[in-house]
Amino acid sequence: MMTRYLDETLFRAIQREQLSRRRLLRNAGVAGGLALGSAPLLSMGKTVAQDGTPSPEVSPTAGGTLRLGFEANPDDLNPFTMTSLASILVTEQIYDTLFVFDQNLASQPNLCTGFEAPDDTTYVFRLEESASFSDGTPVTAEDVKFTLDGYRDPDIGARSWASVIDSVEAVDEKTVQLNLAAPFAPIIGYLSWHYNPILSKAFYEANDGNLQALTLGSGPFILEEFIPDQTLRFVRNPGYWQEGLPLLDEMEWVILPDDQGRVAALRGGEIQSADFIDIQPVESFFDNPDWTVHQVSTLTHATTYINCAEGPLADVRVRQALSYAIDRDEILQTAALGYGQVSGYIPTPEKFWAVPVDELPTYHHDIDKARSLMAEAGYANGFDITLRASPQYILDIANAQILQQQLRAIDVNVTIEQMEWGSLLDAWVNKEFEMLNILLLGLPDPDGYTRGRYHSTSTSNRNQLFDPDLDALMDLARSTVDVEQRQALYTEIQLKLDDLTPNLFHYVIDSWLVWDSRYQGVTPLPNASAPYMKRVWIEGE
Amino acid sequence: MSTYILRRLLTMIPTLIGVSLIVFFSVRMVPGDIVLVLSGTRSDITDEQRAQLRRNLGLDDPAAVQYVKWAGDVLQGDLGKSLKTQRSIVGDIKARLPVTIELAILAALVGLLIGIPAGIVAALRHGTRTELAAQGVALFGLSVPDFWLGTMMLLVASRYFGWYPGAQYVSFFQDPGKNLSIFILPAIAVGVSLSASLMRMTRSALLDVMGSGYIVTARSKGLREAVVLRRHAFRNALIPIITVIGLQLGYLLGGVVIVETVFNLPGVGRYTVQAIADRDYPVIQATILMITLIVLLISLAVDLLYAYVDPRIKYGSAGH
Repeated sequence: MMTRYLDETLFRAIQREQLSRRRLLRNAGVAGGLALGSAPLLSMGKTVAQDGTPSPEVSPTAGGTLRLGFEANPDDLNPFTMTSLASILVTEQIYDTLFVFDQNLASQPNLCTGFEAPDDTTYVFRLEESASFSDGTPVTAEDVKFTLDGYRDPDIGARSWASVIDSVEAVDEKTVQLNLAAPFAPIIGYLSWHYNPILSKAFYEANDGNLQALTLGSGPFILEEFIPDQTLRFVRNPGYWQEGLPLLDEMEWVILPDDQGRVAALRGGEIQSADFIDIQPVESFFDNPDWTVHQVSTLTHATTYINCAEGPLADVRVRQALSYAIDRDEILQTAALGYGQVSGYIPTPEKFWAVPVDELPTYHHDIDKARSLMAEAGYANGFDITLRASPQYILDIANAQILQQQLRAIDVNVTIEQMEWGSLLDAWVNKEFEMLNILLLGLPDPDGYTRGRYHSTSTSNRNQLFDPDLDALMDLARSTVDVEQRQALYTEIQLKLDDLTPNLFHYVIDSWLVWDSRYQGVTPLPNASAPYMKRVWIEGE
Repeated sequence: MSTYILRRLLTMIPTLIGVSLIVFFSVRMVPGDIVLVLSGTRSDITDEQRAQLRRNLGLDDPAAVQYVKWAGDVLQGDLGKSLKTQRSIVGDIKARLPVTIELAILAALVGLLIGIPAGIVAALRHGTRTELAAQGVALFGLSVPDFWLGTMMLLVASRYFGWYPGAQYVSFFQDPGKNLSIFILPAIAVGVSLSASLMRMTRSALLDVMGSGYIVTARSKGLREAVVLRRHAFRNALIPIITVIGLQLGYLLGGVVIVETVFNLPGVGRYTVQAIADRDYPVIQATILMITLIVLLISLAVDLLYAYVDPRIKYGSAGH
């Protein structure tokens, strides 16, 4: 298993002391290169144990209820067909995956005890003996086979990653063998992702595949009631196969789409926890011992897509000039008030894979270099260009405005075209843009950030970048199982991408989790998942 | 009268058909569809996966075929299923309409209780500081958006008084006390802006009537001012006021979207706007059709009320 690291020093400092927000900002400044939020999680107002296990003097107590303000209504609870993040966050509490990401985004065994790979295309998993669904039936190799076969079936799950699976064999009741059509190193990442849980074959068949209304998983909680647009009520799975978990008896997720509505509900004691993307509603919870505010560095990355097929931007020198001309730190400081980290092609919190941004040549703000590249390409006097963005995410508009200002320095005249969200997505998918701003979500493996987006054969190649050398490198990285070799290949790929500049990546955003301080065991992850819910407990319960 | 009502009901049919056609085809002309919106910016979802989802949802049939199929279902009372949730739209609307109706009625009550007395006072104290004050308050009510007022009340109540009306909707029949505590702030927020337009309408209508000959006659008969006001002036000023209430009620029953969102009320407005953002075509079609029907029915009711308030107005088979 690969190992990744946290910024241990800062992390320990936070664990040891109760850092106030201002102090934290100051410390981050003193540390020089250590930007605010460079550890995956920082907690303010109260210390939080690193792995969710409580400090030894206070032992966790079981019982109690959590009411949580949830931002969106989950549209589809069927894991085969669900697409929205809200659905995935809900099903994560009901179902379990074969592996699970830890706080450093490294895969750890979950429903299985690990894997063996006799060769590059064969993976053998041994399932946990005790693993069972909430009706008491064991999780068997047949269930895993059924689930993975469903994911790769274009009429059921239609997962693109699963198409690499050639066959799944149930060797015995608790042993599964995956035979891949070609070496595919990202497989463990995909099996760790909360988007791909293991389902019960018997339950699916008994209910004619109606997993929308009915759920049965091997996860820590059972969904007892779902009133659309209102509330989701979970109760503890009493027979959960992980001894002693979950700790809470009940969770109620109240659907509160409005930021201010969630703030009021927290203040009024109606809910004990809520998430926010914007800092503004969170500020009133700082420096108050009743509340713990977690600042979480996420994988959500802000970017400007460039159409590499048409106009001046088809010239790689022009694209490089844009990258040299923009000051990403200024964009981060101005648009996102500094709450985030400058990011390259692989989001910065993916510390094991991401090349540090100061090692990417075009990330060094250099107007003279940009001007000379423009002149070389025949655009010494600049050009006009349209940048599409949607006010759905205010950051996309703010980024566009700063970009517009910065590009004036090289006489690139940007017109911002604001679009309604659905229309913008349509333009993005159909590649109808010169430049387009969007916030992209995290993915389970570097393969998705690179090959998925820039390979000549990928339908998600929205930039229309076609580079055979890059294709070959990305193919090789996908099929290289050795972790160190893979890391070296992704370094090469990111440098190559920086040279080709199909996108202008700006930064990853921070998100904010506000929790009632009595609730312990909250250990946020950068990938918007919450596997720690089963370890949350209430002090003094 | 009954022939008149029947005729009015019959003329609603072409209106509804027209609206259904416009809505059906215009929502499909807007770029983007449900599959795109749901998968959002997840770049791991491939175009093949999206195409598969579209086939599953029947979105790849020609629009005309889809319309005929949909219209046939609607005629049989089946509004279809939401593309997003696969739930029955009739069921969803049944659950949401009571919320919207209750908010509309309570807001209208707040509006009436503030707007009409304030309008009367302003008219009677014409040219005094009281009128100026009442008009100032009305101007405030008109200028301040209901969602801002709602948010402010919510934040002040929760922050300074630790009071929160409850995040989960409870029906009046389940728990009347809890239900009213949920509705009080949104009803005030919406009612205040409603009261402003009612107050202005009441004031100007009354001022208009107060100057007319029959009021002078009534006064010269020696009637007390209260009787003049109640029996002669106010009744005659009611027609424009009823018109305003009717219009506002039609608007309120379409759902007060942002207020519903701020207070987490699962009403029709939020449902419709979310469906538009999601490109959930059957839901958009069903709710717009329903709102159209409600507005048509309210305007019929308002016309009938005119006849009740002013006996000079009569509806017959030959028109009026």
